[in-house]
Amino acid sequence: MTFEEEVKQIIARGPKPLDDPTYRYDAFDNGEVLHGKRRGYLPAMGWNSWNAFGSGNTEELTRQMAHQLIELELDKLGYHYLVLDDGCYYPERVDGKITNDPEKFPSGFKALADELHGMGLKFGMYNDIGTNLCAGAAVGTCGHEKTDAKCYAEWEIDFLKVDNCYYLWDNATFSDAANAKYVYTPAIRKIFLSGHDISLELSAVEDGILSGEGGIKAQQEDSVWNLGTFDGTGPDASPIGVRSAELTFRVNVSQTGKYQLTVCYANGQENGKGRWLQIAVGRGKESRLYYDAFMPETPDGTDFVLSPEIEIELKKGENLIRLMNHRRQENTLHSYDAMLEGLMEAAPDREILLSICEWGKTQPQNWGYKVGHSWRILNDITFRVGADGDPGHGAWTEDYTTSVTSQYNKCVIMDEFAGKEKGWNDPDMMMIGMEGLNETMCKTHMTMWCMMNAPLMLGMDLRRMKKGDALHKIVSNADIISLDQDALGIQAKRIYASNLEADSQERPDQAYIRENDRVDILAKPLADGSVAISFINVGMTDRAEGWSTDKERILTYIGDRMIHREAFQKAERFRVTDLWSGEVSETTGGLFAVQDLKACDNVTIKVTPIS
Amino acid sequence: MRQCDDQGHSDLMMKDRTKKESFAVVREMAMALCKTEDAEGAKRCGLKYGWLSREDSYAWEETLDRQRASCIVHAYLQRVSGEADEEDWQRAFVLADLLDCRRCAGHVAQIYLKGIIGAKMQIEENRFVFGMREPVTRQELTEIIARIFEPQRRLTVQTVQERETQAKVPRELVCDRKDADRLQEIYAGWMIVDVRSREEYLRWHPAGAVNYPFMTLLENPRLPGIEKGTPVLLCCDAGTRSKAVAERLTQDGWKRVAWLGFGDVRRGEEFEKYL
Repeated sequence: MTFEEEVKQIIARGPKPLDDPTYRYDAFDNGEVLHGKRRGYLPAMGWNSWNAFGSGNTEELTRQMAHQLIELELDKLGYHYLVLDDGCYYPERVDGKITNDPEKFPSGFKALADELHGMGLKFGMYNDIGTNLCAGAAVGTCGHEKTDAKCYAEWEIDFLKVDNCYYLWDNATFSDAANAKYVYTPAIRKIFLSGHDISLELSAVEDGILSGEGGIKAQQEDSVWNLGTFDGTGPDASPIGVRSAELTFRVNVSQTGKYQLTVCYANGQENGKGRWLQIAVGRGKESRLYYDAFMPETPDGTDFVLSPEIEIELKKGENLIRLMNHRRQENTLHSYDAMLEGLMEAAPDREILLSICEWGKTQPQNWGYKVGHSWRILNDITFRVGADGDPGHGAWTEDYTTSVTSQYNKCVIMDEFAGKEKGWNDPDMMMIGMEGLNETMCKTHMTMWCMMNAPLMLGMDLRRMKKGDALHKIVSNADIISLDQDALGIQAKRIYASNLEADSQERPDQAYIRENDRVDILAKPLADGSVAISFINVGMTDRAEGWSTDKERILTYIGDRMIHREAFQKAERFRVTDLWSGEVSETTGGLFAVQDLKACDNVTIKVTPIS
Repeated sequence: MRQCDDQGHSDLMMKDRTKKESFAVVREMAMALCKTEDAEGAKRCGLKYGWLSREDSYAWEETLDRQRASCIVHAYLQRVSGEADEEDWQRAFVLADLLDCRRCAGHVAQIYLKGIIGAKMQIEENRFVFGMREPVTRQELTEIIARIFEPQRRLTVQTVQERETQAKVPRELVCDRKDADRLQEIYAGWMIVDVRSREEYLRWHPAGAVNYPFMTLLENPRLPGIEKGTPVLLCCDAGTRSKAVAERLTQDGWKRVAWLGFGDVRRGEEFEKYL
């Protein structure tokens, strides 16, 4: 069978059925992980090839990076993982298996793994839940999870980053809106319900209740649409709250039993209107799914037609009937789940971290913890990656996802989704050492990532760093790294943002703020009972004012997550350590202040109560 | 979709898509860049100087598509010509399909902004399709090569305009009264701000609108948590107050501001255009 035939076959079979309620939207918040996913890890640290070399990485370059990690003593600080990103496989399967590109990686992956392990390092690789990798190679894991997992087990990998290109069930983000058919319901005009002593006609616009966010009642077209999950790839939408919409009806019946439901619908082929419908009764654990498939084709997208009768069960009294499509999230969870399952089967005793890289598209903050150890929150941090001899380009601020602040602005309010028992928000690999970021920006970039418990993946050509130079000092600041790797494992909370009005209804830890002309204050509880506080000038102008926060504000926001809350609360005196300058001082009264924050600069202190 | 071969900012449309022999393959681009008839020599040269990737060499006899052509040309400009990048690559966001190939996006943006490969189609005002996977014809290849070496032959392309003009005159919109409740739907992605008083807002307001009374905004033209690039639609009864606020926000650097009056709905007047 050729590759094209195989893809056609997968498309014909469609997404996996959801027979097991474990994978459904209604189970996302049950706290359970799948296939015994190992928990308790701190964010991974290491180097990834993408920002430095794009798809031009080679075995020789990788070897040089490994030697540099040792030479620069970065391994001693925890930078252990060496991750080969896209561009290292032969462009198609050989006897059904993935294999190395013989020109770029002539020794093969097992030999490279052995070499790295011999140096005390860990070995990471890359694949994709679609049919192809982002750079094009036709070796995506889709449908090959078990086979590929066996290869990874043989190669003894320690980390797997899994991308989302060429995914068959969801590429509606970009230019071909017709792909929305999997991830949005058709437009709904009415439902008809009959059985026992009732026969009801309910209008979607008049009688339907929209729940969640984003659903649209179009009065003029007499229908409801945009029932699906928001695409989170771009920076526009907040990650907080329900990220999808449902159309619900409350229906009272006098008898428990079977009823017939008919839906008046129109299929669509555009963002917000699709063809896949889910019908459930009840919410949460008690819910039951009665329909989960494409609706029959209609001759024209704007023609409303009646569906076949769908049998549902209702209980005496009030029932909640839900029309929805959570497949965007459920399909993606399924695909990552298949990879995790493969790895757990093929290498049950090997600790392999699974790094989810679906770019925040399907709101992985809701489900990523079930299968992964971290999840990307947005599209890439740069599209101007480097090559051997070219450092590539990074930006402090850009409109799209391609800047330090674009990633930070979203990640900084996502603390409650992360944790040692769940996994970590991943604002992408670091751009320290790329062109376009000055030393101050790199320093603050490092602070942000560490305060946010992000995976710390260096993305620069390490040959451009010398021991003791400015960049080396930044990435090897052990005090700052210890914030990221603190045993308590709690991501900092933003407790103040200067451009939120004092009387604003919005909370600094939840408001999605993308206007960068501001100063943020973050607070992070630490395992030894101290608190780390960062004062961050996000904007590109110097700020001469003073900024301060106090014990009460810190306790309000993170008190419930501190381990020695009382000691902190009762303390009169605090030892204050500046984690960038190393200066130590003492303060009484519990007010913590800084003066003069230069553009893009930060002051980060560790505050320890003195008993 | 409207094709835009008459717009002066796209490449010539393919003459005959059915004739396979009219499409260029990867090898031909490498040979043209090296100005050589020696295919193996061109491959060695491209790999050595880094403007051909290993993947390109595997696809040697495959049809060259526009995204691969962009990656090769950009690498050639960087490594051989030494031509500097366009600093603000996001001006290429007029291309609807720019992010379809994440590996290529940065390269396509550069090659488009430099006017070496234009858009394939126009889909709406200032919105184009680059045609990432569309094949490059031999004729197009000749033109692309010429534009690399002869900058005067490069195309003038349209880019994201908001990024170039700081202050623009706020746009005036009109709204049919029956549409007042559908503003959210019609202007999806816009933030709808009702600038009337709190009392008026509480009596009735368009669905999805938030309330910032106009005096507050005139004094302090900012919307907490909202970036200045966010499209904002200001509205009030007659359009007087919303217009004043729109001008104030525009002066203050807000880039996409529009205003409209939706008429005095409470009095039930037939609303046409409130100017």
